[in-house]
Order: sequence, then structure tokens, then C-alpha cells
Amino acid sequence: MYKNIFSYILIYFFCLNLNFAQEKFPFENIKIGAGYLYNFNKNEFHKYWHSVEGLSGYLQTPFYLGYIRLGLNYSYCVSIDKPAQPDFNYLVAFLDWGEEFELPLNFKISPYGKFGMAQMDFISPEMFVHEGFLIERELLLGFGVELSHKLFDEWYIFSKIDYQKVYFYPSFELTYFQIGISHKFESPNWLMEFMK
Amino acid sequence: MKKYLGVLFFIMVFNYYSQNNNNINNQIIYANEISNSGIKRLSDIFSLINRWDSYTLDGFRYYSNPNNLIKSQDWIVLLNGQKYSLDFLNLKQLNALPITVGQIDSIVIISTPQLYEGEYADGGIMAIYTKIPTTEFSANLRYATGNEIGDPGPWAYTQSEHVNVEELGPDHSASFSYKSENFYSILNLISQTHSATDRQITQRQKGVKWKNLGICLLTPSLTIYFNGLGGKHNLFVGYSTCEDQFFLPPAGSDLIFFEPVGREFPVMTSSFHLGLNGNINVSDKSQIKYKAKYSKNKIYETDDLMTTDFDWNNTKLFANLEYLKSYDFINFNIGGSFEQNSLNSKYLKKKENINICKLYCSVNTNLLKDFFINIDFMSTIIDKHLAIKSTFSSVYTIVRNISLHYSLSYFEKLLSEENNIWNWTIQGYDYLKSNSFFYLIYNLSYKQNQILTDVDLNIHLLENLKVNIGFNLGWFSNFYYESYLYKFNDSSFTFNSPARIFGGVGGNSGATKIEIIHKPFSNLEHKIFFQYRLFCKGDNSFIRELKTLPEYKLIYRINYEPVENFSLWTMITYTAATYWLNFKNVTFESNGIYKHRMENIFLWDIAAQKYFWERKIRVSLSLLNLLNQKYTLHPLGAYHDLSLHFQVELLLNSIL
Repeated sequence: MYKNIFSYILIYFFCLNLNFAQEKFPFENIKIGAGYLYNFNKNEFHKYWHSVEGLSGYLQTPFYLGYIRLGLNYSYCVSIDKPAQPDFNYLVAFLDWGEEFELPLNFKISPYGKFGMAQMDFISPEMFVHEGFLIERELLLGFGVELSHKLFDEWYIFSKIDYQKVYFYPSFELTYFQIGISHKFESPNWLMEFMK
Repeated sequence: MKKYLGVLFFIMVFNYYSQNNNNINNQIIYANEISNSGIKRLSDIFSLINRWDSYTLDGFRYYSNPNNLIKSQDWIVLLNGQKYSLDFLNLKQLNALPITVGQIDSIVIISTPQLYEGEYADGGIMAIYTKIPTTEFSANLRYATGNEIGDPGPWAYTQSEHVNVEELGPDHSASFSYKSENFYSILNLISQTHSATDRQITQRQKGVKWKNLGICLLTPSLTIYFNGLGGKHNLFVGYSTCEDQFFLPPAGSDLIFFEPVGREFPVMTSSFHLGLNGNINVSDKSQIKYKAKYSKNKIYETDDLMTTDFDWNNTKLFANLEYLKSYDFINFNIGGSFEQNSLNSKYLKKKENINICKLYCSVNTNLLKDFFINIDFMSTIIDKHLAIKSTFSSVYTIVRNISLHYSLSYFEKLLSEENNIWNWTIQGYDYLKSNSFFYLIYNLSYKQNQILTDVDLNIHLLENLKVNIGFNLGWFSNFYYESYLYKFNDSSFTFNSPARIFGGVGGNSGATKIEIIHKPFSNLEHKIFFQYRLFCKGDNSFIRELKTLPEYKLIYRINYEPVENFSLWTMITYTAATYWLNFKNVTFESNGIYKHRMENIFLWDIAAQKYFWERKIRVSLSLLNLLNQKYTLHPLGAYHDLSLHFQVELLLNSIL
């Protein structure tokens, strides 16, 4: 059975158009997307907080190499043991850099690397630690892979696995499953001029 | 004396000159490389210098050693030809120079002894040249910040200890310029902040106000340049201070690491520089160059109870005159300078002056085909003591693509030429005794002697491939060595040791290097540099000192500009372990919290830069230490982790 699955995968990938998705000019279009994110990994962080669900929004445009995507993720992290640990708003501003490859049946696969800043905004901490710890920011690095499918016109549905390592000390990892929709449109001329 | 004057006369009569000769050992760092590498502060430039070994405790103030043969902090900073004093006790503060990295056009790094702009580079020279405004009115606003990882984040609410809140900035700058046909003026206002809040540092700063661990510098400057009166003239006024300013958030102080007590003190520092330099063309082939400056560097106490009052007011007056003449095959220059180096302090009975007179000349000739010869000579006179500094260098073109560069230097250095605490202590500055810091000075000689030779083979293998292989050897005598045997105090995390200064230290050492520069495409360049210390022999103190410098170092850089407005840059650095034997006891006594052996360091840095809006906006992002190697460059220094740096610059080159 595994052999068959493997064969199907191989045949599928042989059908790949290994050229880039299409001939692109930098910043010629913008893809705007929004999605739902679900954190499914478990580690030391999750002994203290639930960070299950959230929302994501992004803007994506072709770049000189591949594409870049600028976005925000938001989730609300609920403390398991109040009041020792407070709830916090968790905001991630990120920049992804990746490449899209066309697959058959109007699918595209897109691996990417990511970096960004994670911000934790602690809400009314009972255990007041230090004023400087009410808002904490730290670097995150990660990578992911997105699978998208063109529904009609320039509307897409996408899902992705997104891995992030947040470099607080000690660092911890959050892995998300995301699903959402996106829409692509031509960039206005003034924006293209600005970006170039 | 007569002998030296005779040599001087001989050179004057028979020889020739070339300023800024294209010495293969001089590394030139151009604006493009600085910009693409994501560097945001002047002190970050040390990471681009191949031959200088630099280290820091707090990540803001750097020590740097210009070659791998001897440790020396006597490097000189020249800003558009003006010697800029950045001395604060034993340390230089490059970030006090009131320009931004974005204003730099090029930096010439001189690591081998030679005469350059009227200064003899026995301790290395960093000659910075700034960009000339290109349009009538222009304004440039810049914001830069950074973050080093390791903040506690959510763990602040789960653990009892919370450390590391390091921020690498923010830095702001605004500069405005006006240019006309024969005139330009630039006004700069720069503020820089840096948190020295690494645990290695904070745990020995018990009682120090938190705000004083945040270093803050405000550095305004004004440049006025005009072309007239038969030449070019440049006036530069610069200032740096860490005092609170009404238009900025409350500042911290400055931190001075003071070796005799093995800890930093929060202090206030300021520096002022007023300099004028230029040239007057006498004829087509002759020129007079002049320089004059006044500078004042101060260290004084903060309101922090944990501070100390160094009461250091160091004033320098400097004047220089130089005549240059060129013929078809021969060029020469002759010059002289006078510097009055003064210290005023309550620890001195009266204001002390050190008067330094220098006479120099330099000649070069191309008389023989394929053979270029250069001779530099300088005599320094301080208080009836004479020191000579001389370099003979030659370039022999073996075949069209291969040349051999050779230089041999003999130079002496008077103790009074060094602007450090030991020289001033001998002059009567009584800070150490007044504060019960114990020190002993043994057998100190007033003059150090050094012979250095450099041999380099420069091969243009292909049009786009250059290889430089070389070695240098040094013989040193009558040096002095600061010896400490620090004891660790585990209740205060401080270090105590008597300071013992041993004179008469000597030895010899040799190093080899190879540099390959390859440009396979017009938009891609990569360079590799490797330096290895072949041997080091001599007195124990000499060997101990050299062991604090890495035995070998490998640097690999790639600069890729796929399109005009976007660049990618990466640097890989591998440096050997260093040994700090002054801290040998500390390793055991602190249970390994502090170590005397700094391990090998493998670093990978990346940077990306993008211009927007027809190059009116520049955004730069860099990730330093991408592999997150936890390392420190000094036994008591901060640990450096992965860090993110961000800069955005608004470049309004024609605002009217």
C-alpha cells in the first residue's frame, strides 16, 4: 500500500511544471489573504498557556527572487494557572520569502522561510514582575509550506503548515496549521513605482 | 640627534613623495559594502576589517588591535584628514564620532606602519572619508534599532530570575546639507542608545541605577567646506555627550570598563572637536597642506552612588603643515606638527602638558621601470626625548599580473605618546592612589622599539580574480605589559587584582595571510581572508599578551546585487580561541561563570537591503549570528546571541 502511495506521489511530482509558477515582474501584483490558524504542537510553553486559535492576514507580492509576504498573526493565549501566569495577546509581525511552484489541477506549492517579531502583551498580571515585562518582544525565525488552489478568477484557497521558533530564553516552538482564502489583483502603477 | 637630522636631511635632499600611495596592505571599505552589510553604527565597522582583531565587553565600546603581532590600542582615527581624539582613559569610543555610517564614502584601514596624512601608523590608522552632498539642499533622516534574543518573555511569569533585556538601539539621526559650486555644509544630529544589560555585566553592577546601564550618546556636528583661496578647506565641529537632553527621552550614562578594578563604572563623558584642514595649491605640481585642531575629552561622575570620579579633562591642541612637490618620476613631501596634550584634574597638582613635536618627510620614485620605492621618515620629540619612525617600502612588478610588495619599518615609540592612564599616572595623575587602587610599575622604559616587515605577493590570476599572499614579522623590545591576577569576589561578582606594569618586555612574532577576491559576475563579489599567526616567542608577558588575540581567523563574505535597488550580503567568520591568563584564577573561583579561555567562534551573518521610491527610502535588515552561537569576546564581557538589526533611512536628496 505504502509502495502505491509512494508511486502516486512520484507520478504527481513528475507532472510538476518545475518552472516558476509564471513569468513575474517584481511587485506587478498583490495577493491579499486572510486565514484561520490553529496551533497543534505541544511543549513546555503549553504547560502554562493555551495558544490554540488565531487569525492571520497578509499581503504578498512577487519579488526579484520568488515572492515576499508581509503579515500579522494574532492569537489570544489563555493561562492554564491563573493568577500565577496572566493571559496575553500574542501578535506576530512577519516577513516570508519563498517561491511558488505550479502543480497540476490548479494547485501551487510554496515553500518559504520566515522571520519576524513576536510581541506578548500581558493582561493585568496579578503577579507583578516588572514594568518592563508587561510587553515582551522577541525575534522569531521559521519556515513553512503552503498549498493553494485557484478556485475561480483570481481567488484562491490555501492551507499551510507554519513552524516558528521564538527566541525568548528559553526558546520555544509553535507550529500552526492555517487555512484561508486569498485574492490577487494587479498593483497600481504608483505602488509599483514606489516599490521599485 | 645629529645622526637623525642627517638622515632627515639626506631624505629631504635626495628624495620624493607620494601621499596615499596605493599600498596593498591598506584595506579600503567602500560605502557600498558598509550599506549592504546592514551595519548601523560606526563601531560595527570593526567586523568588516580583515586584519584588526577587535573585542568588546558591552557591545558598544571596542578595543581593536591593528595587526596580529602585538596588542595596541593606539590606532588613530582620521576624519577627512583631521585627527579625531576619541580617547577616554584606556579606551576609544568610535561611536562618539559625530557622523553616521550612511555618510561614509570610504574607509582606508592601515595596518602596517607607514606615513599617512601626516601621521605615522605605528598603531594602525582608520581614515574615514565622508560623502560630498550631490544636490543643493538635502535632508537625511535615519532610524535604526536592533534586538538581541534571550529576553525572558512569558517565562518572566514562571521563573524567579529575569535577565537580558538587551536592546541594540534605537539610534536616530538627522542630517541636513546645502551645496553650491564651491561650498557645502552638513549639519548632523545623531543619538544612539545601547543597553549593557547582559547578565555578565549586570551581576557586578549591584546598586547601579538601572538607567545607567543604558548608554546614551548624542553627537551633533557641523561641516563647512569651501573651495577657494587657492585650495580646499574643511572646518569640522563635533561634539558628543551623554547628558540628558530636553528633546530626547531621559538618557543613561556611559560605561567605562576600568581594568585595574575589573568592572565598569557609570560615568558621564563628553568630547568636543574643532578642526580645520585643507590645502593650498602653490603650482601645478606643488601644494601646501595644513591642519589645526582643538579637542577636549572629559570623564566626570554621574549622580549614581556606584560611580567613581575620574575627573579627566584631556585637551589637545594640534597644528600641522606639510609641503608636497611632485616631479615626473619623483614625489616628496616634508612636514611638521606640534601637539600639546594636556590633562587637567583634581588628581594633579597642576595642569600637566605634554608637548609633542614631529618632523617628517616622505619620498617615492618610479625611476626604475617596474620598481616603485617609497621611504617614510618621522622624528618625534617629547621633552628632550627623540623617537624615530621610518619605513622603506617597494613594489616590484615581476610580470604584468604579478607584483611583489615589501615593506620594512623600524620605529620607536615614546611612552608619552600614549594617552593612557599609565602615562598620566607617571605624569602625576593620582587617581589610583587617591582611590586606594594598588599598582606597581617595574622597569618601565620611556621608549619602545619595533621592527616590522611585510611581504605580499599580489597576483591578478584573471581579470576578476585577485589573490594576495603575504606574511609579516615583528621584533619588539622595551614594551610594557599590564599584569593582573584577578580574584573573584562571589558576593559582589567583582574582581580584584593589584595592577603590575612590567617594562622591558620583548619578543618576536610572525603571521601569514591570504586574501582572494573574486567577482564572477558584475553583480556578485565574494572574498575570503585568512590570517594565521605562525609563531610568537619572547618574554612570558609578551606571549601572554598575544594569546589574547586569536591565532587564526577566517572571513568569507558574499555581496550580491541582483538588481540596482536590492542587495544581499553574507559573512562567515571563524576565529580561534583566545586565552586571557590575567583571568586564570577567575575560571575556578567563579565555578566557570567567567572563563579565561574564549572558545572558537563560528559566526554567520546575513543582511538584505532594499531601496524604495526612486532610492529615497532605504530599508535594511540584518541577522547577526544566525546560528545563535553563544559567545563572548572578553572573559568579563557580555554574551552575544542571535540578533536582528533594522534600519530605515529617508534620503531626500533634493528637497527644494
